[in-house]
Amino acid sequence: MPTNLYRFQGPEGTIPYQHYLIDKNNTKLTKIATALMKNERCDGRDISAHRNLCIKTGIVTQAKGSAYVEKGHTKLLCSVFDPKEVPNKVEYAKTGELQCEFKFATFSCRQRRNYTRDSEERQLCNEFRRAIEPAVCRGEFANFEIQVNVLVLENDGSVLSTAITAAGLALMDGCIPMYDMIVASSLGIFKNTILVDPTYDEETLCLSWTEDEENRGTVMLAYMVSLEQITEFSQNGSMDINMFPEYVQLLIDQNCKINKLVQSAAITDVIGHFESQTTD
Amino acid sequence: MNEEFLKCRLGFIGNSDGSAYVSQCKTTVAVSVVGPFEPKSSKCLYDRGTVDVTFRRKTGSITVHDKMLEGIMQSTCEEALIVEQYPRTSIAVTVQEMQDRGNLLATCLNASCLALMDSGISMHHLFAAISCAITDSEEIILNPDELQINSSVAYFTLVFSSSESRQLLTSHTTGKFSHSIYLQCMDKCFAATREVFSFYENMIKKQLIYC
Amino acid sequence: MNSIKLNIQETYIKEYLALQKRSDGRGLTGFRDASLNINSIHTADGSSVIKIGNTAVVCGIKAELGIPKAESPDVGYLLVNVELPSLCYKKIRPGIPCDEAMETTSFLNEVCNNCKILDLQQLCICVDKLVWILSCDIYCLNYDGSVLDACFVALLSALQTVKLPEVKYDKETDEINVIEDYKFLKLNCLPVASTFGVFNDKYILADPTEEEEQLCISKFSVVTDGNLLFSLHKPGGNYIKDNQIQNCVKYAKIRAKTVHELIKSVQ
Repeated sequence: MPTNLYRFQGPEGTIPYQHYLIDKNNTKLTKIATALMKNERCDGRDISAHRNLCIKTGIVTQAKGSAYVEKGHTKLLCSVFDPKEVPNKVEYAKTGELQCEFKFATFSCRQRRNYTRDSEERQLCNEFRRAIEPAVCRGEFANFEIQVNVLVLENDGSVLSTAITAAGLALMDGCIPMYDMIVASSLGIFKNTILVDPTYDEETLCLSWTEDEENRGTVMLAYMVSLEQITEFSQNGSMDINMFPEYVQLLIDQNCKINKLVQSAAITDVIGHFESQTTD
Repeated sequence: MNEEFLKCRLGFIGNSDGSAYVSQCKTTVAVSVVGPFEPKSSKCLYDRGTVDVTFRRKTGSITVHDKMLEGIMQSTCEEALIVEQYPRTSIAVTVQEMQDRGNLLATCLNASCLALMDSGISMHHLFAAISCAITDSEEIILNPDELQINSSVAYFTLVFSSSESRQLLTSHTTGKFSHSIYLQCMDKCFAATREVFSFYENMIKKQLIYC
Repeated sequence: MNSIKLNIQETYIKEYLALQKRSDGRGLTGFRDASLNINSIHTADGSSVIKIGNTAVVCGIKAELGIPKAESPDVGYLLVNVELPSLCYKKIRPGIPCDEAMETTSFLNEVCNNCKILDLQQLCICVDKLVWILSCDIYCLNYDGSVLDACFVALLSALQTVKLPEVKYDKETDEINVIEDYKFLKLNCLPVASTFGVFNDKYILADPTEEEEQLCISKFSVVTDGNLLFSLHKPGGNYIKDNQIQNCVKYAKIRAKTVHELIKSVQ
């Protein structure tokens, strides 16, 4: 048995007990699917409504900037640290680097996750970095790196878009120069129904494999609202190419809605900051 | 504590600055000290030396639990050395387990103290580690063997410095116990450290005669 | 400790400790306020979030089924791991766990195993064939000193929220049936850790913050359930005097009672 040097680990080949309750889970998916045919969602939301957002900034006092975002049951924490020198680097770089870490807590998903980084985390990390990189004024801190860390505490769908929104807030809270606030949202596509901000079950349904050629998949778009620029667009699954303009327009509309919430959170943050300064 | 219990050979590794081969009961460890030497620039501190303790099992790999023992040894050794005298340097202490039959932490700490003394690096104070086990009937056994540890309700490893007043440097305990019994153990262990320190003294005296 | 730090330490003693005050307004032996929240993570089988001052820790427990060890076929697994991710503290680099995370992990496991906070036999479903594996992962979200204290509270309150379904195992056919009849775990005792920072041989600070931990010459942790001691842990550093130990034990016992009340209040 390979022993892990750094952690206590149990035996290999463990089975989550939920596997034996799986029959229920399957009916759950078909239930969602039949409900969607009638344009209804299992959590009672409208298909074009996103879940409630809960935003808190500055909760990691040890970090330069941080944000905790809760979207429905999806919970994640993002923190940003001061620019620092890149270790073991010889060449001069004109633009600063963003060092991103995207981590799921082991208990954040249905199936227990491993401690080491897996391919999904790596892919999400890359997409995450690509999305926030254009928003940061990287020329301001040449030769330095900024560390952006994301820890997902609970995954209930739309993790990446929530993480990007949180990172925008954390960067703002950490006073890192940015061109614009960055927000992101995602869609789930199931046949002809477009689901805004899908939950984990809806995502699984949208990504489930079918034989017949029908639209299925998820799309995610990160957007800078006042600059009207798209920083990252990612798509999973197969869908009709002619539908894309509609998706993009819908995502941009969603992002504008989220941006309003993010802005109001930012304003209260700044007001709170000044108030605490005057009382000191 | 008799000569049979604690055995030691100093300077048994030729190309290190200090070394000790210590056996306490049936537990044996070897410690080598190298330094002060010039470290990598990342480990270099401008006003003090860094101390690095590495603990090795005879199997090669170490576990999470060994990491904690390593941490305890590291901070105990670091505090004993006058690191301010060796700025921009590093001191490496390697502790190798040879045989583990109980009292491993205490043996490792005593051996590292002997090896540090052998290396001639300046020290604030010496330290001596004593372990004791408490039986079901609240009896205190100093330097218990493997069987006694396994059947005990609590097991302590306490480290005291060589100063006249009682100074507890390190305390590592397992099991449940009451505060009063802990104080009793402290008294007994502190008394026992005197013998360890006199053993240290004899060892160094012998070593000096050889030179 | 370098000269700059020594200077800061002296100023801290003069400006705060000599007046029996600390920079955040507490007295020398005052503990920070704690708030506890349980069952906030729905994907975990048991979870809790604890905030002690600014230090925040989340513990999530996943229950899985697996094969027991050959040498102990009738006991389940209780695996406690502490993660100090790079997001909680600026001095931690991403990658393999730092030394402190491993030391805390090891210490927690040692206390859990030695004091039998959980009867591992109740995790056994079928001897030598099937047992429960409880993986308890504790993530530090904000590192502001005394993380060990928070880890203990998080672990215990999370363990108390774990509900395990009844599992039937057929020896002949290897068939596993899960019946949705959930039962809570039974905990034997509730160890509470209290960390103290030894400033010098005169001052001792209860529940130090990160800033104070940096200035302290050594740390001292007392684990107790208010009655018996489970551990007196002092990993090296400078010395501590006898009467200081006595005071620490006294304060830790009082602290344990308040923490017990806190854990009870959320259930």
